[in-house]
This record gives sequence, C-alpha cells and structure tokens, in this order.
Amino acid sequence: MNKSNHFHDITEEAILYSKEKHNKNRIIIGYGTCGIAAGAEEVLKEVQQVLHELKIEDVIIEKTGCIGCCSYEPLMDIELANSPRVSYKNVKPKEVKEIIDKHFEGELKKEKVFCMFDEQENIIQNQESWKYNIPEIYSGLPTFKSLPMLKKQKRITLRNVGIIDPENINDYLARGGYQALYKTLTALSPKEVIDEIKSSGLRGRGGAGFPTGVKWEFAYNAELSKTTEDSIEKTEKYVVCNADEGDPGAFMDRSLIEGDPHSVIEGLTIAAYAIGATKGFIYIRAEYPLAIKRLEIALKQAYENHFLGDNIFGTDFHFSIEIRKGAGAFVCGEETALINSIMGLRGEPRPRPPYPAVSGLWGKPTIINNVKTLVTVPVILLNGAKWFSSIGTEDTKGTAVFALTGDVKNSGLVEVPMGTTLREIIFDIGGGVKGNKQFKAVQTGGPSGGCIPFSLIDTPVDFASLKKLGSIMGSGGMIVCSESTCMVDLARYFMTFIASESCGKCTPCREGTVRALEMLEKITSGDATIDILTDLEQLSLVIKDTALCGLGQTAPNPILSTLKYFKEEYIEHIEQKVCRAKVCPGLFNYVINDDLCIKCGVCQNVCPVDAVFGSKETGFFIENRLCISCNACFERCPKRAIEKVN
Amino acid sequence: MNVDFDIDSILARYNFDSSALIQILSDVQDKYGYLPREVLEDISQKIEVSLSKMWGVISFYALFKLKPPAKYNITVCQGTACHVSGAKRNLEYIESKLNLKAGEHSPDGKYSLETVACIGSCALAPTIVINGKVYGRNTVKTIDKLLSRLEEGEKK
Ligand SMILES: Cc1cc2nc3c(=O)[nH]c(=O)nc-3n(C[C@H](O)[C@H](O)[C@H](O)COP(=O)(O)O)c2cc1C
Ligand code: FES
Repeated sequence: MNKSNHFHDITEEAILYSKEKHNKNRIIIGYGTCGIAAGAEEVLKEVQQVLHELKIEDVIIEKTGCIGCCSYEPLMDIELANSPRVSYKNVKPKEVKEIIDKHFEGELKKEKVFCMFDEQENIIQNQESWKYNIPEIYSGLPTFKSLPMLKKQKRITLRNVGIIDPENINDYLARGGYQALYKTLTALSPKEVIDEIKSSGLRGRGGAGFPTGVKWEFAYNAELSKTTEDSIEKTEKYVVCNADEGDPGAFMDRSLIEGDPHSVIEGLTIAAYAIGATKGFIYIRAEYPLAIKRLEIALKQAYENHFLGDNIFGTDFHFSIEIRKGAGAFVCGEETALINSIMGLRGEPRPRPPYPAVSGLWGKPTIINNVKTLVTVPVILLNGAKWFSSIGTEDTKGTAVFALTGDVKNSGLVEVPMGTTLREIIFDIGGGVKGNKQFKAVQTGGPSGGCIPFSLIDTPVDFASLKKLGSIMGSGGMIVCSESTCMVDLARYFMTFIASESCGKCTPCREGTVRALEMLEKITSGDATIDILTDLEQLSLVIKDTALCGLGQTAPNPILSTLKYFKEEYIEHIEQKVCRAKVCPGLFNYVINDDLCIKCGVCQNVCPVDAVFGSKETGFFIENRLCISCNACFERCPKRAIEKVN
Repeated sequence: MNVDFDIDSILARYNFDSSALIQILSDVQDKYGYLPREVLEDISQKIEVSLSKMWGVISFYALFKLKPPAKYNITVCQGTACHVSGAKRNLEYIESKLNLKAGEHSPDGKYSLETVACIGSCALAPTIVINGKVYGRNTVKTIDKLLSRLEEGEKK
C-alpha cells in the first residue's frame, strides 16, 4: 500500500467531514477541567434533556477544550447550519432551555452572548479558513477576535484549543494536523529539520529558554561521536515531552493537552525523527486525569492512522510513544529528576553535565522538551523559520503563553507575541484587577520566579527582561496580586512549598529552605527583629549559589524579589507588627462595626473556634486571641459589618 | 483483610518491567484507592524490586497512599493562585469544622483531608476536590454547602 497517498486520502476525508459539520446544527461545550469545575457537566446534561424536550433533532453535541476565557466558563456555543458559532457565557443549567429555544427560533438571548466567531482562522499558511455568512440578527455581536481579551493575543501554540474536538482526529487533520510530520518524514533530512528549528530561534518554553534546535543538535551529534570503528548499529535515543507542569498556579500545558493532544504527539514525533530516536515518553502529572485520558485517546488514533508505529508514511522511520505518569513531586519537572522518575526511581536530580542530550534515559542521548515547545514545532516547519522569527523580540522569538490568574478580572490563557508589556497583558487583556482593588504586584515563574511591582509594569516580556528584574519567564504562570495579598506571606508561602518539595539530596536546599521558612514565619507572626532581614538575604544568596539543581538555585527568588521591591512590608511586620494586607494572623484584628451590625448572630454561628462572644440581645464581639483568621465571619456577615483593622 | 488482590493484569500491562514501577503503583492505587501491603510484597517478588527500594520510591512521591481512603476524600488546593484567593483560610476553616488536620483521616473513616499543590484549575481559584470532582470559586458559604451536602448524603 502506498502510505503517502493514504495520508492525502484521510486528510481529504477529514476536510470534507469538517465542512459537512458546518452544514449541521451543533452545540459545543467547553469541556476542559476548569470548564467542568465551573459546571460544564451539568450544562451538558441539561442540553441533552432540553433538546429532547423541545424535540429538536439532528444536533451534534460536541466537547471542546478550554478556549482560555476561564472567567466566563461554562461556555456553551451554538452553531446553526452555515451560521456563525455564537458563544454564551457563564451558562447555568436553568438558563440552557431559554437560550436554546430562542436560538433555534432565530432569536438571541443577548445578555448571555459572549461573542460570535465570524471566521475560523487557521494559523497554518495556505490552509483554508472557514468563513461564515452573518445573518442580520447577529450583526452587532462582538466577534471573538475583537474581544478586549483577545485583541492583543496571537495564538500559535494555542491554535486549536477551544476550537476543535480534541477527541476527534479529523478535526485536527482538517486544520493542517500531521502535515508537518508528513513533510518532515517525506521531504526533509534530520539535519534540515534541526537547521530550520535553529534558524527559527525557538527557545524552550519549559522555563530555562534553551535554544531547541541546539539541544536537538547535541543529541543528533551524540550518535556520530559513538559510531567509531565497529558500530554500524545506531545508539538508541529517546525523546521526552515534559508535561509535569509543577508550577502551582499554572495550567497552560494541561489546557494544551486537553484541548489539542495530537499536536503534542506530532511535535514529539518530529523531534524523534530529528535526533534519530525510536522511542518517546510523555511524562505527565497524575493530577491531570482528563489530560491523560485525552492523550490516551489521541495516541490510539495516531497508531490506528499509522502516524505512530512502524514505517510511518511508508518511510523507514519507526516511532512509539508511552505515557508515564508522575506521582506528585515538583522536582520531577527538572530534567534529570524526570529521567530518574521515568525509570521508576526516586525523582532525585543529579548534577549536569553530562546533559541528558548526551546521557539521559538509561545512559542514552535523550532530549526533553516542554509541551509548548513541541506544539510550536509543527507550525514552524509548515510556515517557515523566517515567519516564526519575525514574531517576538531580539532576545526571544515567537509567542509567550501565560496562565493569567489571581486577582485579575479576565483570568485564563493568554498567548501574546514576545515583547508585549506586562501592562498590556494584565490591564488590556486581563481587564485589570478584580473588584476595584489596587494592583500590587505580578508574580511570574512560580516558585522559581519573583514578584514584579507596579513601577515596572511597562516591561516587555521575554526571557532576558524578566530575568533582569529578578524574576523569570518560567513556563508561564502569571499571578496578579492586589492590595489584599501580603508580599511577606507570599514569600513564606513559596518557601513552605519549596521546603516540602525539596528532594533532600543537597544540604543548601534541604536545610537552607527550612531555615529561610522559619525566618519568614517569625516575621509573619510578628516575632522577628530587624536584623533578621540581613540574615534572610544572606541565606538566600548562599542557597542560590550552592544548591545542586535548578529547584534550589532558584528557590530564593521569591524572597529576594520581595525583599528588593517590597522591603517596607517586611519592616512593617517586624517593627510595627502590622500586616497591611490583613493576611497574617495576629497582625490585624477583626472588629464588629456596631453601626452596621443587625445582631443576627451569623458570625457566631459560623465561627469554627467559638471566638465570637455575645448574644442577639447584647450584640457580639470577637475575641481576637482565639481567632484563627479563617475569615468566615467576615465573608458571611450579611451587612459587611465586620472589619479588619490594623 | 479479605479482599483478593489481583494485580497480575496490571503487571502484565507493563511486561513485569521494573522501570514501570511508578506506573504499576499508581495503577494499583487507582484500583484499590491505596497501596495495600500484601500487594506491595507481591509486586516486589514479581518484578524483582526489593521492598526497601520500593519504599524509597513510595515515600518520595506525595500521591502514594498506604491507608485506604475515607468515604469522602476532601482535597484543598494550596497552589499559588488558590493561595492568593484565600485557600489557606479555607483550609483552616475546614480543618476546624471537621476537627481534622490536613493529612488526617477522621476516626469514623468518613472524611480524609488533604492538600494538593495545584490541580490546574487555577482560574477558578480557590479550588476543592471531593472524591475526584472539582469545585471552584470557594468561599466559606460554598464550603458550608458542600459539607452539609456530604452530611445529608450520610443520613440517607
Ligand atoms: C525545579 C524545576 C522544575 C521544573 N519543572 C518543569 C515543568 O514542570 N515543566 C517543564 O517543561 N520544565 C520544567 N523544568 C525545566 C526542565 O528542567 C527542562 O529545562 C525543560 O523541560 C526543557 O524543555 P524546553 O527546552 O522545551 O524548555 C523545571 C526545572 C526545574 C529546575
Ligand atoms: S493553584 Fe489551585 S488549582 Fe492551581
């Protein structure tokens, strides 16, 4: 059988299939982990029920990944045959019936409309974009791309997420899926692939920003150095996709895998071809069950279509992929620890060199790339290195994907050209701080990163400029902090995390982080004296210089950056015993404002430690010495009569 | 314990390969909810990894459990996004309501309380997972509702 014709055939079929879909009525539900958490499951059930009740037949119900507008989940889209897809936001099950009923009758429940898709754009050049005819009643609806959240975004890595059905390979194929792999295997030599990636300027998106093509070249050459006199046999090599996403507060990789799993498989297979590997692993954290499930489905489909396995596209290239689940250890995102974990060992790191590209899994050359890096590869090969390197900054080419969260209005996934400023990301795309609060800082890079204050908000993002500020780009977590975040508490939080995640192999990290945590706890409980700050800084610098792996070397960043930009908050905790954000227990009090209090007793009922005294007759007061600062009374008081004071 | 543990199908899935130890353990845990001692001994023999080596691996990874799960396993995310949205206060509230500390099981086997470092639903912070189902945007009010729903489920 001629496998290459076979590929053209299934692609043609997939395109036809996808065109036909637009001739049918569809209801599409955002079904990523966060969509489900926001209630997508209940919405889906209701949709099925309502269609049955209203006797509407011939509707395709589809699930898609997270389109990245998480604040508006659950999202339910309706696409009538040949009409634009209209997206409804924050859909509650009880609203489903009215929305569907109206929509199918040619009306719109306007206040629930999020946007419409006037075209389905395809980032891959020379691929068709689907354009819709816009009926009269849709005029005036905002289009997806015109939403403030989307205007400044450029979606390359996230090209398919939230648009395709991730469990349907036809959807991926119809949007140019596996074209790059086909081109690679049938028309390019490994060296040509590596050169293309090198000249595109792609840098790894896992945190360190190492040039991807250079890394691949190391592994490619590793073979040459081994083939001396006798060995005709090729050295075995491995490729690994790092989907550990350990940064707490980040979910780009999860959303990508849940929303577009085939792109990960395609990228990894191309990497394997480039370096000459026949075996690949996807190392994914067990905390992501849905992503694992979607990957398993996608792998099965890829094997069935002969995109994986023996003689792919009729060439002599063989490649297979296995999923390896992590088991809840942050350090396993570090590449040498990850290698140990895949081999079934304790996930302890080891000093480098040798780098995994030379000696990795079972001592063989192994490359490890982040999910986002691999997903970007196919597009570069199709659109060209030149196209890719025209996007971004001198330092970093292409786009950056962030998970924007915390005290920000529009939390979600953001993909922008490198060089976009923090202000644009947080205020234009993110809509600024939630609930009329003041912006205080933005945290990037997770436990290895730092906090950037408002005065530096106009910094353009790329690897170099964030590093200059004492933070890092990291893999893309971006957490917005308002006036109600205490910066000392945040440093304490990260140190708690690191101290418990430190693998214990090297002393500076094992002991140092615990000592640093103790100091921070002293400060946040008001028991420190001012000279502690010098000690804390000293200790941080020592850990940074002496730790074995990246975890320890970067662990002090949250401390150092908050000491640099928010020192006054540290001093207030120490000298005035005041936490201005009113977060640190004991450094502020809860008091009841008698003018507002209606003596309802809710605070007393809700207090889990009986720190509220009094009765409905006499009124209430809070004994702050018993209080654990759980905030329950503050949140539950119907009159907002409970105040936090310093 | 009288349960018959059947793990050969799991081991066969990985060709009795010791490098798949972590996968084997997590599949066993998916099946039984924890890692029963008998099973560990069995695995140790069949894939030829000593128990002490296995213990080294199990103790390294936070997700492995040696105790059967409680009826309701409540996991409170303590990731960064959840932290800045009040996850610590939520945890303290639940701890004092259930009279349990994170990591503990209630004596009646009804509740176990855990923390996790992020489940990737950060946009819905602060998140709580109860028996695998994720609940987002939690406040004291939603927690009260969730807990009382569990209590009601008990009475039925
Ligand atoms: C403590 C620590 C945790 C890490 N966690 C991750 C992670 O979760 N995901 C990831 O892709 N890279 C992580 N890295 C970076 C990896 O070691 C490695 O550099 C990366 O996966 C390489 O892929 P890239 O070249 O595509 O960026 C981590 C590094 C350290 C030191
Ligand atoms: S920080 Fe809690 S879900 Fe990510």
